[in-house]
Amino acid sequence: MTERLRRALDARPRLTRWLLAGPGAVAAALLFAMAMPIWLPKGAAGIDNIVFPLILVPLIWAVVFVYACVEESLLRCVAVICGTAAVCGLTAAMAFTGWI
Amino acid sequence: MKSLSQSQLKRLTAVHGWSGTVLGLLLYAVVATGTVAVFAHEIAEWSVGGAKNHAPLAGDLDGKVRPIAERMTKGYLEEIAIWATAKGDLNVFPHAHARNPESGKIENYGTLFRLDGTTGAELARNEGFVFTKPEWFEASALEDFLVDLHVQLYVPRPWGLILTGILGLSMMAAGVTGFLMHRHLIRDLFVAARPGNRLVTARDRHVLAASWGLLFAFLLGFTGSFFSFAATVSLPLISQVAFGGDQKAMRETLYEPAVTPDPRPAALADLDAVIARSTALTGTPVRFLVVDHYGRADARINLWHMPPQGTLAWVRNVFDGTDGRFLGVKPRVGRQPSAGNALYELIWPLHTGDFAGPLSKAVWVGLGAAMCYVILSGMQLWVRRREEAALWRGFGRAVTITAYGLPFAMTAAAYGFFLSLPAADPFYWTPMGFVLGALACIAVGAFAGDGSGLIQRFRRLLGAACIVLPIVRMAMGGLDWADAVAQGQGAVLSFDLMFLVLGVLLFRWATRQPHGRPAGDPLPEPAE
Amino acid sequence: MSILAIVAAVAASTAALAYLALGNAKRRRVFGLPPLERKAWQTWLAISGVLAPAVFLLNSGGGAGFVVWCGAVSVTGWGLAAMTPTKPIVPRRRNGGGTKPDAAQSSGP
Repeated sequence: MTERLRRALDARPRLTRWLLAGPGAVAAALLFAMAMPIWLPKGAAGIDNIVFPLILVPLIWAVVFVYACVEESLLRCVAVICGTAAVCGLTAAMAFTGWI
Repeated sequence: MKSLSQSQLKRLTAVHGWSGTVLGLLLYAVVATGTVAVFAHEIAEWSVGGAKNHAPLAGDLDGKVRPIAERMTKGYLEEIAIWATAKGDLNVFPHAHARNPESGKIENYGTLFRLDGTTGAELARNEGFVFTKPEWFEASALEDFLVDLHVQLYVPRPWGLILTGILGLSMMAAGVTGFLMHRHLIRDLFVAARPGNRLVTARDRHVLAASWGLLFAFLLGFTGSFFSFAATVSLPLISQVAFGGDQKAMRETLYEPAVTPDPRPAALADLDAVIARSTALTGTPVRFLVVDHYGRADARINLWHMPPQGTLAWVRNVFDGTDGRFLGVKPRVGRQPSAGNALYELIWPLHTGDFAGPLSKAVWVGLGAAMCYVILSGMQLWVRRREEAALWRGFGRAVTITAYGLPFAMTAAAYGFFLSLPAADPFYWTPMGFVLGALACIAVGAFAGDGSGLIQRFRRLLGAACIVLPIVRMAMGGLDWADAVAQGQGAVLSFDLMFLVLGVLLFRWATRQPHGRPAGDPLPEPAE
Repeated sequence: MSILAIVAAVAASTAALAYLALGNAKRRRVFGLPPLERKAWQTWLAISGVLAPAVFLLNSGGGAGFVVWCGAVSVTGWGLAAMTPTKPIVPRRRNGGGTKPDAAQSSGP
């Protein structure tokens, strides 16, 4: 399964890289920021968990974007970016629906 | 950086180069207009012929505001915002919050009174969603246009903001990829461009300027994209998770101070006494003032001060509206000091340089100019590497036209403003001046000669536009220099002089044969 | 933190940067100038000279001076480094008439 995915990714390296560094980085950064209010401490004024992700969105994007550009293994890159996006997206969705 | 493999370097170079090529011209437009917008307030003052009153909030404000508040219906007294225009007039804006059917958003609805800053005489009155009509509350169409051009490239919301946000991200990406690509950043920090007109010279120039500007390129791109995305994308998404989409709960947590509602009638404390007390506490003048719940027992007076000496952030003091008691300093976000607020408060001064008067603004203009140089020299380098292809030579020409055309078009906007001031609508003619100026430059670029002849023509054109501008300003009824000196209108005098000096320098630059090729210089003629 | 203190700090750092620029080995090599025999401690002292005003500003104010310093030094440093070492610098240096700190020592053996 992993081998098949690796072969599929390596067959279209440029497209994969474009998807990861383009929409992938934007989605991962936004989902990561959306999940941050859940696990970040609220701080003295009860706002740190909202303000930090709000401010850090561009920075998170930059990290994901550069990672998507420099990571040699496409499989690892897909796993890290999609995995982060999936976990954060799921956490955010659960918070939105009131499960956590 | 040394540990990067060849394939990694190749990818980074492609990302750095292509993002710069695709977005470079727009990025240059945002950075160049941003560089000018650093002095937006001073430009406004210059364009309207100086402020008649430099401190209209410090005079007899109570006597001007109270009669207006007393005759307003209760609904409009939810908030009274008060601030001075660049002309030194007062804007007094009692308003409520209502949904604007055009935007679908809750906006400020009320009556805006424009008063003479000294006498308090009513100059104009407009009712509606005031902040959708810049001509009602702005004194200078030129300032409004230049700021709008920088903030959203004159593209309607939210698309303009999203576009400038993407450009901010691309600036960050260019900074980081450039940093990773450059193997000897520290070692090359003092290596000036090698002489001549070679490819390596163009590379040296770009790399040197980019190395010194790296920190601020990243910082300005980061803070800029924050401003673009915060309200349009990030906050709505984050608030979905943090507040389940409850905008009111979010506003209360982030921005609104806690007040126990008390609708009993009560007279407002003396505004002038509160302003004097607040100014003494903070040490800098009040720039913006909001009275909440005028005429009620739960009234509050909020005063925004410029950053106290040595600090970066604006200060908001809150006073009890009935007895004038000082209630404390309200953080920008949240109800008490916090790490999140400390970070939030840094974004504005770091992006605009608006914290230590003209000195910090001048430094930010220098940084902006350096960024422009980095962008243009980067695009020139890209083109030089491909100058055999006609398509890339055409792109090089577009870079030259934009490099000079944008400042020329901004100057043309100023002409549009001044020429329309006596008889027409400056809010229409200022952007129109920009468009006409840009078209003129494109025409010159398309039909005039190639190479250095084109550049020199552009420099002369821009130089002439700069020299004639102060004359046109005065001819259209603007303050002359004798009166400017007599009235202490520093902005008027210094901008006029700056334009004259800039014009003379551009003319000299046009006739001088440079050693190498400074920013915006022509691409070499293709080998015959 | 007065404006004057910030300007003085930027000027001091710029002067130290000028010293570093004049003696920078790669810069001299690229432009065909003979290397300056500088001791490591002299270079480190100059680097401290660049940074010391920033530390002073950071300690004596609310951060505004430091931020202005960062921006100003980014611009002045670039301006200094971008200046091509041209002939007039060399004779001034040899005569010991320059105001730059390394004017005297560059006239060495």
